[in-house]
Amino acid sequence: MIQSRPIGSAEDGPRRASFGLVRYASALFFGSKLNTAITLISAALLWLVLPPLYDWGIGDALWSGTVEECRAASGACWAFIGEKINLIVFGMLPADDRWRAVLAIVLMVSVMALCMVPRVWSVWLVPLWIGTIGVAFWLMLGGFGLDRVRTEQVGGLPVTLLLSLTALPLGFPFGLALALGRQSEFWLFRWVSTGVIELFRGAPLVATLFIASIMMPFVLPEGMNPPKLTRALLAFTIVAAAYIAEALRGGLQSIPPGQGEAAAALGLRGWHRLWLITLPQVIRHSIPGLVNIVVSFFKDTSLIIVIGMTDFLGAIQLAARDPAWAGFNIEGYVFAALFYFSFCYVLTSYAARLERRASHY
Amino acid sequence: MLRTLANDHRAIPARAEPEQRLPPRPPSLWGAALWRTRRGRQFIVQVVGSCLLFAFLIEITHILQVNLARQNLELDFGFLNRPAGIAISETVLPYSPEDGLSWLIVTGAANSLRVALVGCLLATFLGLVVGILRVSDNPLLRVLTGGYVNVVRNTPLLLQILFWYTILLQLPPVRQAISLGDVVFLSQRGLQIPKLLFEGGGWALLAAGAGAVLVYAVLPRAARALNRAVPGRMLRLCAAVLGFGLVLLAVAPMAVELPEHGAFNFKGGMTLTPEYTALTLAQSLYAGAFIAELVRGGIEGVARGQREAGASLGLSELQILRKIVIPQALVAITPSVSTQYIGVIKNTSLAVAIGYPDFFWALTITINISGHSIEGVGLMLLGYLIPTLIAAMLMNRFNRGLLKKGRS
Repeated sequence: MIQSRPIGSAEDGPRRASFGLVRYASALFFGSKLNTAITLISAALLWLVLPPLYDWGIGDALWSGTVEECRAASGACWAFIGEKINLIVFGMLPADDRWRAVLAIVLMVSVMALCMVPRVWSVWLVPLWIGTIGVAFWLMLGGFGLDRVRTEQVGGLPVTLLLSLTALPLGFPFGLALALGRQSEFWLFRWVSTGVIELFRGAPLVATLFIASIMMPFVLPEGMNPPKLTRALLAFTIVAAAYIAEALRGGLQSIPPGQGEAAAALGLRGWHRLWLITLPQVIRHSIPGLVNIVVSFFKDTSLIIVIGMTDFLGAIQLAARDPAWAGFNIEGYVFAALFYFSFCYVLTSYAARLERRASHY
Repeated sequence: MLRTLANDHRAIPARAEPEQRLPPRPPSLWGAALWRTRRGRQFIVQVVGSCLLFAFLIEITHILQVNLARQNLELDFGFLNRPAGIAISETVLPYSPEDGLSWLIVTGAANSLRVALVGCLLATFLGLVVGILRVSDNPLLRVLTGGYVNVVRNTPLLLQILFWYTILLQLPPVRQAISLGDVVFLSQRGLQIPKLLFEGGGWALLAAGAGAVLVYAVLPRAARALNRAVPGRMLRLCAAVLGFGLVLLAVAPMAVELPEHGAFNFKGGMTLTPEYTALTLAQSLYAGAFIAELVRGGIEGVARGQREAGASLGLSELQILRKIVIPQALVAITPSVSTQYIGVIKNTSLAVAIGYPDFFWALTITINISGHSIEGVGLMLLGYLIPTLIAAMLMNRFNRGLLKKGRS
């Protein structure tokens, strides 16, 4: 908004051609007094921040070596990450079973990448996701021919991916039911759906996780005591359903009534109308919102350290607690930040692109 | 001619499908087989759905009762009067371990509110400034603000809280505290800031507030009475703030207590612990980045013609921003910003990761001490739902007011 060029001058039109690159750049950086000040202040800030950051992270950093060398160095100690990478990526998984975690990670990430291509969007993604989730859990937990892994041993990156990527597909049917229930003509469905949506959107995720972890023994029959992973997954699924319902509501409201009437005129019955006409449009319309839910869940999976589980961030905290390597938390956090950033940035830019594309139509 | 056409129109369909032309009374539910009619099918779905819902509720309560009976637990809130017997590292309200568990919860809630209020204020300020700067043409500024917004938005808040907390703990000890003009000190013990001292407390504040409102309300009338130009809203606000300060000075003797450097600790001033500072800083930066994106979206959403119209009226760029663009952008983004505020309130619960005694922490402690998890969980949900619902209501009302103003 603080524009370097006066509005409406030489921005477009034939005069633009006479602007040389140098003059264009100088107008961009030093177009007015205000702009010159902005340029100088920004440059000073960047100069204050970037060189020390470079020195710490790359220039003076230690990429391998022992603890003693690390403590002597003035830069970051990336050797710490190298030392602990197995714990961070695999949690407490025995060394022989690590290939399973690798396989599960590769599977989930590639299916997700596949789903980002609009050309493959179809009903077939539903069984694909169900299969992927099943196989991923089978790989991680064992059974059916694989050695069983205790859920306490499952930690690190696979937990982050499992919880964030499965909560959405698992919560989707419930979210859809809640969204439809909220639009229902029957007061009981409307009230119950609204209540559930507002309850789980209003309570913090930390509280929901905590409640799921301590309340489960009370509302389940005696003898059933699901592991923490299941409890966390249940909490994530319910919360995801509430958020999905809210994302779908916008889509449902945006469908013009003429669509339903046209379908009725073609002789389609209620369920067919919903399934063939309304839902495909609603889902397409809600995809950016759904991707943003994936991003926020990917970030929020880190909250499970509150109920004593270790995900990616939890594993880094665990690594930093090792007395031999104590005091390298910052390196761990920066590494985690890079990881989360690269994943989330790709997804948010993707959602933004979809939104822009949708607004063209 | 017209009449015949109309007659034809009425006559033909009536012959073709007679029952379709008479819809004033809905067809009886019991006329045809139930699943043949739309209303009948709806009826079936509703009955089956309600039955399932009630069966689920009854089953859950039954299991709950059985489990409670098995563990000899009863639902009652009497445990809240038991003494807490636990010390809290920092409080806003006066608290001692002899106080009841209920007071522990209230103290925790006050601590949470302290984070949420300051966090919302700082986030709004930061978001407005960064959001406006982000629409600039200057590439350097775009890199700077874009870097901040993207990095902060795409990393978990919990990670950021832990990061700032670790950094604050690694600061030098009090003896070598980093000083900003000998007014603010930063050390291992946290942030030491000047404290505003005034006598009279709440009453003085109340009187000053009344004075400010009076100034704000009377100013335009006074101007009209004196036949002067009615002052703008900004001017009136400034005058009101001035009035607030003047009344406060007149009513209550005030002093600013600067922190002094002691040997092992600071004397005077106000201490913000590392926990509080890290939590509030991370919350403000996080919510601020989201609000900045909203502000940017709002500004870019204002039609280009609006700006050009302002320019053709001879307004300066800042005037265009202040009088044309920002008011319209604010209307557009208010609902989303309110969601961000609610997020800040909810995210205060992350305090538990660094041991700041907030509402969530107080309730987990209460549950641990008393063993009454169901009541504790109920209080927890209530405690988080009330402020979020109130905030949503207030924002809706504010939004409606803005919309009304925008239309008139």
